[in-house]
Amino acid sequence: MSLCTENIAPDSLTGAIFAVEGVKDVCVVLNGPTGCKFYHSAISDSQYIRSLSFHPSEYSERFHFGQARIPSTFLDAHDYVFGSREKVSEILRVLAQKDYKLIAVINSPGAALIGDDVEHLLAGKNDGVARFALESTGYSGYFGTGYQNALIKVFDAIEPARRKPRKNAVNLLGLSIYQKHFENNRRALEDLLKDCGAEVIAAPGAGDDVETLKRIAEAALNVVVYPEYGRKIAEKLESDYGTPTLILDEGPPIGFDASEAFVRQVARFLGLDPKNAEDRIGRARARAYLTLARYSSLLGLPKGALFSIKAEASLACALTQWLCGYLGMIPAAISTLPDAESGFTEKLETWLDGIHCRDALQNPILETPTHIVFADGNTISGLKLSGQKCCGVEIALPTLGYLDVTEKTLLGERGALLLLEQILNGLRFVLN
Amino acid sequence: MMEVALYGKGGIGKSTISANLSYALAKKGLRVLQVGCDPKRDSTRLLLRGARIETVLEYLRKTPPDRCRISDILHEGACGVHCIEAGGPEPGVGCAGRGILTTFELLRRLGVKENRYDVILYDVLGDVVCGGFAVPIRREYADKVYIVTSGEFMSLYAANNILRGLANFDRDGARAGGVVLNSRGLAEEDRRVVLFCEAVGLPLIERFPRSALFSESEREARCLVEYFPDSEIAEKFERLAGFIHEQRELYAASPLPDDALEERLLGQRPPTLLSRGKTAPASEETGGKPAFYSKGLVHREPLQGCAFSGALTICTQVADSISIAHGPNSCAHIAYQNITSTPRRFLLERGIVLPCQAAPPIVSSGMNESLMVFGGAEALRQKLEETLRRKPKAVFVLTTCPSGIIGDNLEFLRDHDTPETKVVPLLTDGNLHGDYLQGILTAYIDVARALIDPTVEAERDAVNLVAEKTEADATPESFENVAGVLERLGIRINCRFINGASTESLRNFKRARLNILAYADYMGRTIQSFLEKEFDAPFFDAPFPVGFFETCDWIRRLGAFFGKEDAANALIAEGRARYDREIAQIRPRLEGKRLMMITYSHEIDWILQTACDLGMKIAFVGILNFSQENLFKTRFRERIQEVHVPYDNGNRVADIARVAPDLFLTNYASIEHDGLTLTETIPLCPVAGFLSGVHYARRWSELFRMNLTEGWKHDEPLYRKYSA
Repeated sequence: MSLCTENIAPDSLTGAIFAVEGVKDVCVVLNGPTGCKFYHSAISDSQYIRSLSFHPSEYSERFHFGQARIPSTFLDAHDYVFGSREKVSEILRVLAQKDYKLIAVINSPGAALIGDDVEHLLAGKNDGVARFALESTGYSGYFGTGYQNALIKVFDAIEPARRKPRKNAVNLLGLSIYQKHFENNRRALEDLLKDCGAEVIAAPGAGDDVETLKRIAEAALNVVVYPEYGRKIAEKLESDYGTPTLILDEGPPIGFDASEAFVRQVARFLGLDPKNAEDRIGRARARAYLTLARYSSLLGLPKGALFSIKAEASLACALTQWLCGYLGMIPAAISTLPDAESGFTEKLETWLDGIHCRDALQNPILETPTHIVFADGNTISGLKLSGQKCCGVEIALPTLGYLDVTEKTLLGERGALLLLEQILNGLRFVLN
Repeated sequence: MMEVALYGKGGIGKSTISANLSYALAKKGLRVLQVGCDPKRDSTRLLLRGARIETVLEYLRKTPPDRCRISDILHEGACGVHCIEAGGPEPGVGCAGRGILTTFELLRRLGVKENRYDVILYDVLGDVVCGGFAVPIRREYADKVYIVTSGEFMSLYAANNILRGLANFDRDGARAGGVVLNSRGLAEEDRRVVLFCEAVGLPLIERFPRSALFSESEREARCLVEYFPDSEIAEKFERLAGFIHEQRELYAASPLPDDALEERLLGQRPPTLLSRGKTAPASEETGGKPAFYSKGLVHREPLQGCAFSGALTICTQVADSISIAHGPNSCAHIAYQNITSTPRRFLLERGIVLPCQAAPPIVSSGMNESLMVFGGAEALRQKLEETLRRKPKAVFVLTTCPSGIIGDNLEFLRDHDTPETKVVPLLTDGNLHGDYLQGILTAYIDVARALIDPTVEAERDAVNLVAEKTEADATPESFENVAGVLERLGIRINCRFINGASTESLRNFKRARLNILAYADYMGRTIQSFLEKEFDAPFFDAPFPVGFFETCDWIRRLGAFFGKEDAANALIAEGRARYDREIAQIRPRLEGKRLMMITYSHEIDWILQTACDLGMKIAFVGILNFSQENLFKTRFRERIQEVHVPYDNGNRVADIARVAPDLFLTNYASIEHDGLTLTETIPLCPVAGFLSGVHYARRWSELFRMNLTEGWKHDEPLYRKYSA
């Protein structure tokens, strides 16, 4: 076990690809080898389902290699010497016949090195389809950096119109198709905001189409749900359209407390009454109360159970506070994903200091005894490999492959109930 | 604002021309920025009184991206000219072209153009007009492009190449401003440059004579225009500056073909192209170890996946090793996810943890922008030393496309073994050396060469299992079945080459008296061929058996080889009894049913035999082509009503409607193609053993027994309405 390594997190290339793949009517062309394509195509197709079958013959076109998403120019050693221009031109001719509203060519790390002028090949078309190239997504950069840079390029390409902001309209920033349950996460937040009397215009990167994204300036406020993936976009939108930015004090609305903080903070900013949303969360709290009272009367749990987390600093911070402060659980190991500083690492340190558990941030997640781990599938799998008797709650990709048919979410009051359900059942398995 | 690019061969004096030109432009009251785009980093030396400034690339190497400021890299020189040097790696390492790309990306990010310059002058090395050095002539940069040349042929050759680069960007535009002659004092120099200009249709806009004034002013680290302001040459620079600033008429780049260039300038006829075979034979053809190539490479197919990832999949199967992925984190991330995808599913579906794949020991050297420019060998050395401290038995170092493209020299890896650890470099260079399967082959070969001890003696009743597919769902169960048979025969498994094998078991690979392939496909056969040639490894002539007949035959022959016929016959008898019992149970429900099959699998007797033994009618078999080799063969040809090899999947809908089978088998079902037909999927890699076919037939039997239908298939209109 000692030689094993933790899950290797995605970097700026993956961030960029999934940012643009999160636009509904886009075609992302990967200018690179198929080695960079297959994985991204498979994950995009499984996260944001836009086709009915896996049969390779249905995507047998030259650049698709049997996959529905992300055609690629299948660069090889010859192309690295002589350039990729011919293949890029050819694929663009093919795509021009299709009904995409946005075409983005993203260079793989190797393609970025040879410096072909892809932007030049995309220029000068006048057919109503927005096009852009990302000639380098950076090397070993943060996922969030690649993600935000790519979405900023999307906005530059589609040129949203300047409009008068609509009262009580917001954008949700930092959501992504690379997040577990992304569609219902968005819906959960929309429902809470609707209860406050606010509407969501767009959630870039989380399934909106180009037409919706063009309306981004109609929002009176940009709510940054995940600062790691949304702060820079908010700065861009504020600079271009003057839309003010709200970064959530408590981090993404995971758990009841952060969900309440979310509705109150947005409502306060817009001058709305959060009561209906608070009531919605209150009803969920009541339901949880009943279950928890009976569960703890029998087992004394979940208080005192150990938990570990691997997540973005903002999510880890909100979730840690909820698990400790609401359920009385004890942090064993908390590992934050590599990303640009969001301010939440320090917040988390301070908070853990306050409960004398700062060590949790240094403890290696695969080797620290725990009862329940909130992480990606690989981390959960790694803990099993290390022989730990613990249960896992997937809050990030990659997934173990469980197919979610009913609508699940990690955020808002519905997300809190789902997490609670998984915690209570998981601990029974581990601690009995 | 005007952006000007000055290109020229290295050493021709273009930096001297550029600096003086910038000075002359500034003297006219213009705000000028000069950007040196030459790894030699001396473009702005004369403007800066000889001072060497920190280059952009040096700056980027030590500065976090969010702390970069334009003021840190911008220096004010003589006459107020702003100066920036891109810099570059040491000769022979890294990628200078990438350095230019990186520099321009930073300048864009820091908004250098918003600094209200009247002129930005790019002084660019023109020896190699690769993608990186061509950045300044991209349309978003240079408005005007000038070439500085002497009358030497190689300088004019470089000038012509620069025009070719420009022509590639300017299919229908005109940005070439003209040629500047910086004379070396050669005979007929002027005439040759004039000839060149006429041939490419560009004006010769200024001639600078060879003059001691240049060297004198350079000795004083001053621009000539500054140091000898009243000289004739200074006047020429001022005239040139005025011309460039005012020039409106620009020219399309019309480079000459190489042959024409030589003919025009040297008066020589183009050289004859030697035909193949007349040159000396390459050393590879006369010696060295034999090479083994994947099918994709042999048939020149588009590369599927990359060799790096394929090799990593195999290397991580060596139980007490660590693999270093030398490249950006994206490569390590993608490969890690690929390797862990099967164990994640196994954990969910079967509650099984696959030890080598669940948390594979992979570390990334994390190549960043700076290492792309300056080379990543040193970072890799550090990563290796860090890894060696964990004392694995072997460290595999695998290279990615970026490290291959920039040409990292990793020779040092060959001399890094420690008493505890063998260091094995696998220079896959991403997909530069081939596809995923080539990577798998490379790993098998390199691991074997590094770790197998060829002097170990064989033991009597020991076998190796070779080339099991680590990603296949069937692998654990096939292994269990095969291992069960071997145990019953009293045969020990010496090494699973390479599936969770320790370095010790790999070292003792030759203890096995016989090697058994898991699959006799191209990959398996190639690995077998390698092990036979290099290690004299004897192979059993049948791979893991799939299906009843094949398993009986396999056990019988294996028993005969090891002199264990009685145990083999007993096993076969048990298997037959079980198979017959199962067939007898299932047959009443499937007898007479019409079976249709469209599959990528070329070996399907395991399922055809079961169908025949069940009395099913085999109405149609379509074999899809997924590779260049046709391995389809069957003992049941007479029992199949229609066979199509290769089958065109485009006929699928019509053929299903025409044949109207009771049961349709395929590898990938499609609701859109297969409609309401009862469709079952069969795997590309079935489980080895007596009951491979029976396992599926049991399912079909249940479906027919209950006459089940799939009501959900009628909801397609609802799907279109609400979810599509």
